[in-house]
Amino acid sequence: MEDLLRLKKAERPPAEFWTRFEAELHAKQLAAIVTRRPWWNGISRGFAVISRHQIPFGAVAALALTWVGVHYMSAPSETVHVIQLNGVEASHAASVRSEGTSAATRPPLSVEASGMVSAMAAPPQAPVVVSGASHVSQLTAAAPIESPSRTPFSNVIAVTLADFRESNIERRDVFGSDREFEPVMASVRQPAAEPLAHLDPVSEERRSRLLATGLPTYDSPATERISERASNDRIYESLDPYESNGGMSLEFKF
Amino acid sequence: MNASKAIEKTLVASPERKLEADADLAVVRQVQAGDVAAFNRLIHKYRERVLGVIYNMTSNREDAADLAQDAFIKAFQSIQRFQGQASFFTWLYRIAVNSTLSHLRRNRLRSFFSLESVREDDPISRELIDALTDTTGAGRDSFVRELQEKLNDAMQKLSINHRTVVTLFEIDGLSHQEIAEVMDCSVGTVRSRLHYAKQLLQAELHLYLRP
Repeated sequence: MEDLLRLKKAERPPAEFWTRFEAELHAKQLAAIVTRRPWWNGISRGFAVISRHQIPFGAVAALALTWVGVHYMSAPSETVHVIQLNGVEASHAASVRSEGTSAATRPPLSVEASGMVSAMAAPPQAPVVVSGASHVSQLTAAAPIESPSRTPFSNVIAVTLADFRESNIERRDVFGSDREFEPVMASVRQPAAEPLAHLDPVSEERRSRLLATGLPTYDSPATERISERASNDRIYESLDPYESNGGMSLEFKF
Repeated sequence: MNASKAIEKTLVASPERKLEADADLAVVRQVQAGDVAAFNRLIHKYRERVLGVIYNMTSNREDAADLAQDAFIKAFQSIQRFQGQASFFTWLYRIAVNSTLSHLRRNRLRSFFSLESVREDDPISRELIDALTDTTGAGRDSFVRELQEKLNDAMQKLSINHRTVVTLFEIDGLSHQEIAEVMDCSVGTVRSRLHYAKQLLQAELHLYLRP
């Protein structure tokens, strides 16, 4: 079998073939030197390399996509920046630490939230406002992110409210009124009472005077009772419970 | 001792090949430095072997000439990317084999022979033909021609990969390792393909084989 296949080695072109072969090859070689290859040849070569090593490239692409996905999902809680603010009061920081959660163990907030609060901070010339604003900033910087679903803005609001509940600063001094932060009941609801109890009993005179204009006069006792009941009902209906002194009123402030 | 040397030769490249590879690398460095004429030395050195491989894979001399020229042009264009990790010979064979495989796959349905004549002026070829036939004169020429056609016919019945392995091993004399590098497959795959291809060829050419 090997001898038979070796016969193929004896199949060789004549000598003149090589003369023509070399002439054509040199012509092609010169053309290859002169002719600039189009720019898309590089792209096709790149695709050829990728198709040759498609398994490693696919694995790398999958890993990169996974990394990007994980990084994107955890981006809000991972962007850690320390905020440098002027006028941070140590006493406020200490009071915050004493609340139960150590400030050192708390992760700082993201730069978006801190930047927003910093923009809210007042200039340090106003003493009261500086105290409150810097305290707010410090709290914001040290506030924990309790839930990943919370936005930094909601965290800032929550910390601010907690601080104002705990602090001794007069709220009206800082913001003028605390009605922006808490829904306030305008008045305490009084116990329910019979509205007619506050009225003076109708005197016989007045009743007779009123009935004299509205009802015909009857002599029988039955008609007397009927007219008396009707007059009471009419008086009761004529009263406006919302205009009385003991009436209740509700105010809703947002 | 001789058997172990023969086995080693089939498995790994010979030391002569390594010396040859070092010499080729020096020429390649000249070409990379800008000496375009140095590439002609490489062409002159490998043109017959490259053409022989392509011709035995295609069984068409015109296609073989075009593909061999294209292989040299591709090697010339890409020689700046040649790092010397493999030998230039293996690298050039790889370009030639890949170009031929692409050509054969493109023209899978179009195949016709255009055979070279067997050169009897070479003493080795003459001895080989003498060993294959007892006839002389015109009968000898016609027998050789018939044997050549049957052999090419049997080769074309092999798949492209099996044909390539048989060509590189039996006709061109490459080792298993070199064939694996050229075809970008494992040595085991090369052995398996070689064994299967020989079985098929024996089945096709059993009338011309002596017991």
